Amino acid sequence: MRAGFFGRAEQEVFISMKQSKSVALKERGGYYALTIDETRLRQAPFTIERDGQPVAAVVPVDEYQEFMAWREHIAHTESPAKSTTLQQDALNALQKERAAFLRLKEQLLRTHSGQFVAILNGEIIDSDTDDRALTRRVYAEHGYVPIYIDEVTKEPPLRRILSPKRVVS
Amino acid sequence: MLRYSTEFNPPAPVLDFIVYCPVDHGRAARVRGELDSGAEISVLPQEIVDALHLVPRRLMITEGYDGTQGQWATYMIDLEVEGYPVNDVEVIALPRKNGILDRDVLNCFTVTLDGKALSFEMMDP
Repeated sequence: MRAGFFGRAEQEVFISMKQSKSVALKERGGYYALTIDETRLRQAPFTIERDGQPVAAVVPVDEYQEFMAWREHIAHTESPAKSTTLQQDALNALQKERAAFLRLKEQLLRTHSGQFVAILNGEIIDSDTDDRALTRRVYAEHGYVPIYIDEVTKEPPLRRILSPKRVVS
Repeated sequence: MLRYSTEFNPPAPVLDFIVYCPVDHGRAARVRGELDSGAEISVLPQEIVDALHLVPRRLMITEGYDGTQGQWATYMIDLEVEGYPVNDVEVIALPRKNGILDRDVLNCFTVTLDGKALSFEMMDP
């Protein structure tokens, strides 16, 4: 028979197909022979335990292939690497808008001092004394994209995070 | 009453809250966060910001307890804490496991800490 295997490699558990309908689990010094009922395998996965804890499961190979295809699909659509790249792209875009904010700052200090301004594509698209209302409005009008929204002040505001943490107790 | 977490030393008031993307509440995640009245900005784990595809809004300078400064992107989010909505909260993202709820969030609640009983309560008056 053919079967797929899900297991935890770091536990040094090895499975080898000895013959049809049987599977051997070899663990360091031990060597065990197990029998698989193909009909039952079709109904539910065959679970292998060690010390009462499941460490692997055997499933029909077509189900295993379906799982691998699904995992491949997920990896391409929602991988952490992809999310990180999207976040980096967004930060790069924000930096460009911030550069425009800094370039315009002297002018803004004369015209918008104490207000919040929103900058997109290097241009001021909106301003308000209410930071939150401005943010909601520009996202609604221009989409949820990197728009630089900051307060026009001589010195950038500073926020403190004052709680020290114990690293070692 | 909520229990202090003994995963912290000393035990700390920690609770689960829900983070929403401000323009799409279908993009949401549950986060474990510490209540920190010493924080002037809330913090989310970086992986949550990545997973929800939050869009950065500005850069902010923060200062730690020892005077160390850092510059971070901020994000606007909506929260649900103990069933109460708290909208338009500004946060930064840091590579850490837990979030931090700052005074902006705590000031929306009546927070009662009972340190002797290792329990606390957050109520929206």
